[in-house]
Amino acid sequence: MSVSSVSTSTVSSILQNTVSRLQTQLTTTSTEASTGLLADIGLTLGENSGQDITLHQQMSDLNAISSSNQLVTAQLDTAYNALTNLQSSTESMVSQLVTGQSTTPGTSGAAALQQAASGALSSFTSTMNSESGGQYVFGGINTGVAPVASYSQTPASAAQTAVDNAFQATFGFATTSPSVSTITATQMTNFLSTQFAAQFTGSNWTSNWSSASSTAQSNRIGVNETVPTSISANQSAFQDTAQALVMVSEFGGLNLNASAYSALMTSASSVMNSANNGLIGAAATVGNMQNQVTNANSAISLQQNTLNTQINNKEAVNSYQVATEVSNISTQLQTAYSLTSQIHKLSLVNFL
Amino acid sequence: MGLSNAWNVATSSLATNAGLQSIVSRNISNAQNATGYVSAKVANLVTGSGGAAVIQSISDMTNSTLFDSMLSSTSANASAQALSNGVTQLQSTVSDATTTTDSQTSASSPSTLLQAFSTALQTYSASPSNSSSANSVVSAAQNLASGLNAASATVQGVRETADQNMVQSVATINSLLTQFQTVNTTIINGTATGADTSDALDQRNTILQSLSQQIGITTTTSPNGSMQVYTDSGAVLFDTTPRSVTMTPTTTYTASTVGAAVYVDGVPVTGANATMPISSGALDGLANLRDTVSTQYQSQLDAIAGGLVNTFAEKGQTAATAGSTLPGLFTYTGATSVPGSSLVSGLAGAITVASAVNPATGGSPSLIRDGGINGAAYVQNSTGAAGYNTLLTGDISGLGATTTFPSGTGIATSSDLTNYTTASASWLDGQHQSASNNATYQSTLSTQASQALSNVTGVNIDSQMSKMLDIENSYQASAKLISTINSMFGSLLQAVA
Repeated sequence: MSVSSVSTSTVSSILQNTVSRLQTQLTTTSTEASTGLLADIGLTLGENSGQDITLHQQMSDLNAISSSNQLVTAQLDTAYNALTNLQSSTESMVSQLVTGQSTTPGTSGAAALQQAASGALSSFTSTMNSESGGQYVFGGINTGVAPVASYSQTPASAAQTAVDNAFQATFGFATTSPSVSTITATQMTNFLSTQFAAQFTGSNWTSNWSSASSTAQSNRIGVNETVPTSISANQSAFQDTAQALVMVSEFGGLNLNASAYSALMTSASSVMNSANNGLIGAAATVGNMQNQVTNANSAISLQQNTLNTQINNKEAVNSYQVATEVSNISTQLQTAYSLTSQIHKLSLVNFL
Repeated sequence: MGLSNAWNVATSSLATNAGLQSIVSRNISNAQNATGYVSAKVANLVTGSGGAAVIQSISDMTNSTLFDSMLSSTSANASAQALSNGVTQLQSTVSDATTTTDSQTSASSPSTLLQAFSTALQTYSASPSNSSSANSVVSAAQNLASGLNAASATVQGVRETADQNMVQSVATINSLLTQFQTVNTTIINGTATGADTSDALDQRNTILQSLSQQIGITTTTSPNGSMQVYTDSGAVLFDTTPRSVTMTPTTTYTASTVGAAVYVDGVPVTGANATMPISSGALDGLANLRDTVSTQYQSQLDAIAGGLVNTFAEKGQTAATAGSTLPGLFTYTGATSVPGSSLVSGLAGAITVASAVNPATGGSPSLIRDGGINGAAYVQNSTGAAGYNTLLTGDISGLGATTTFPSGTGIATSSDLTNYTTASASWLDGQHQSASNNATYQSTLSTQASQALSNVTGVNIDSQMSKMLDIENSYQASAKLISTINSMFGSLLQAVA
C-alpha cells in the first residue's frame, strides 16, 4: 500500500478532531479575552505557580498590616493629642507657679492657684485615661484597665491617703492641724524632696497611682518590623506632673507661713519644669512612633505596587494577542466547517 | 480448447465477480465502523482449472508494526487520561490559591486559608483586647482546620474512586479475555480448515484494542493462528486459556490505607511490591494515582497540619511543666505531644481547633492571646494584661520561621509553614500541568497512530467504488462472452441441423 493512501474514516474524523480541539481553544482564549487573565492560572503556571501564590500571600499580609496600622495610628494620634493637651496645661502651671512664689499664703491668689492645680490634676487623670478603640493608650500592655485612678474622691483615694500619711509621719500632725504654720522652709523642702517625692516613684506609684504596665505595647507595623507603639503612664514625666500638681493642690491651701509657702512654690515649680520637659520628650517619642508607622505605610504601599506589577506579569494575558487568537481560531473553525461540507460532497458515489 | 471450456470460464468468472462484489460491499459497510478496528479485505485471486480466475482466499490488509504502535499508544493514552482526571480532582483543593487573594469566606485551599488566618492574627495583635478580633481568629483557624479536613477527604475520595475503577477495569479485562478465547479458537479452527477467518481476526483485533485501554499488552502469534497476550511487563494474560486477573477491592480509604495490588496470573503487577510492574493502560494510571500521587499529596497535607500543631504548641510556664510542650490552638484527637518533624499519618483529616478557645463550646478565644489552652500552667500573660500581644506576634513570626518538615513528601523539608503550603500547592499544580499536558500529548499520539493504521489498512470508499466499476465491467464482459458463445453454439447447431 502506498504512503499516499487515506482511509475514508480518517478523512471524516480528521476534521472532527480539529474542530473539537479548536472549540476547546476558543473557550480558553475567549475566557482570557474577557477577563484579561489566564484562563487557568494553576494549570498554565504549573510548578511555577508557587511564586504566584507567594506574591498573593505577601500582598494579603501587607493588606493585613496596613489595616492593623490604621488602629495603631489611631492609638498614637490619641496619645499624641493627650500629651499635647497635658503639656500645654503643665506649661501654664509653670508660669502660674513662678507668680505663686511671691504670693502670700492664705490670700485669694493662693486659693486660685490651689484651685487651678486641683483642676489640672483631675484633667491630668482624665487625659491619662484616654482611650482609642477601647484600649487605654497609656496603659502599656495593660490596655484593659484605666491607668490612673482619680486622686480627689470620697472616700479618699489610696494615693491621697498615702500622701496624708506621709505628711503625718514626717511632721507628727495632720494637714488640718493649726501646727501647720510652724513648718519651716527647710522642713518643707526636705519633706517635699524625700518622703513626699517617694510617693510618686517605684512601688508607691504602681500601687497607689497607676494600673499601667511598664511594658510598652509593641506592634508589627511592617513585614519584619515590630516596634513599641505606646508609652506607659509609669514614665517619670507623668509621675512628675502628678507630683507637682498634688503638691500645689494638697498643700497650697494650707495655713503655711510665708517662707514655707515660698519653699513649696519653689519645689513645685522645679518639679513642674522637669515634668514639662519630660512631657515634651514623651510627645517627641510618640511623634517619632507616628512617623515610623507613616514610613512603614508608605513602604507597604510601594511594595504593594511592585507586587501588583509582578502578579500582573504572571497572570495577565496580552489582550491584543488574545483577541487576535480568538479571531484566528474562529476563522479556522469556519474553514473547518466549510471543508467538512465540501469533503463530504467529494465522493465518487456522487459521480456514478 | 473448446467452446464449452470457454463457456465454463465465463460462468465461473460471473461467480468470482459476485464474490468480489460482496467483498466490496463488506468493505464499504465497514468504512465508518466506529466500534473498533476493522481492516479492508482483499481477495486473493488465482487461476483455477481451465484458466478461470477464482477467489482462493480473503485476507485482511494488515500492518503489525502500526497495529502494535496503535495498541501501545492506546494504553499510554488510557494511563495518561486516568491520571490526569484524578489529578484534576486533587487540584480542585488548591484551585483558588492562585485566583483568590485574601478572601476569607470562599477559599478552600490550605495556602489561602493559612493566609486568611495569618491576617486575622495580625488584626488581633493590633487590638489584643478586642474580643471580636479574637473570635475572628478562632473562625479563621476553624476554616483552616476544616479546609485541611476537606482536602484530606478529597484525597481519600479520589483514592476510593480509583480503587473502584481498578476493580471495574479488572472485571473488564477478565471478560475480554474470555471473549478472546472464543474468537481465538474460531481462528485456530478456521486456519486449520482454510475457512475465511478475516471477520474473526477483525473481532480479535477489536478485543485487543479494548484490552489495551485497560492494561498495556504485547502479543505473539503462533503459526496455527493462535495468539498469546502478555502485559507490557511480561506477565501472561492469555496463553491457550485466559489467565485470571484479580484484585481485592478496598472500600474505605484512610491516609494509612495501602491499596490492594492487581495480580495477573498470581503475579503482582501494581503497587510497591510489584514484581512485574505494568507501565501503561488505565490500570497503571489509576494505580499511580491511588498509590503514589494521592498518598504523596496526603503526606504533604499531614505535614502542613503537623506544622500548624507545632507552631501553635504551648510550652509549660511553671517549674512543674518546664520543658513540656503540648498542642495548643491546633490539636487532634488523642494528641499527647506535638508531632515535631515526624509525619503523623492522617493528621490533616483529624486536625481541629482546641475546644478551650471555641466560644461555641464554652471556650475562651482570649486564650490565644494569653496562652493556657492546656491549663493555668501554660499561661504566658501572667498579669492578664488586655494589651498583651507578645504571644500573638510570636505566632505570626512562627508562621514564617524555618523549621524541619517530614521527609518523603516530595517537597524540601527545610521551610517555613507559609512557604510549605505554597510549595505543596505548587507541587500539585505542577503534577496537574504535567499530567494534563501528557494526556493531551498521548491523546494526539494515539489519534495519529490510529489514523496511520487506518490509512494503511482501512477502507477508502472511493477506491472501493472504482473497484466496483472494474467488477461491473468485468461482469458485463463475461455476460457478453456467454451471450457470444451462446450465439456461436446456436450457429453451429443450425449448421449441423
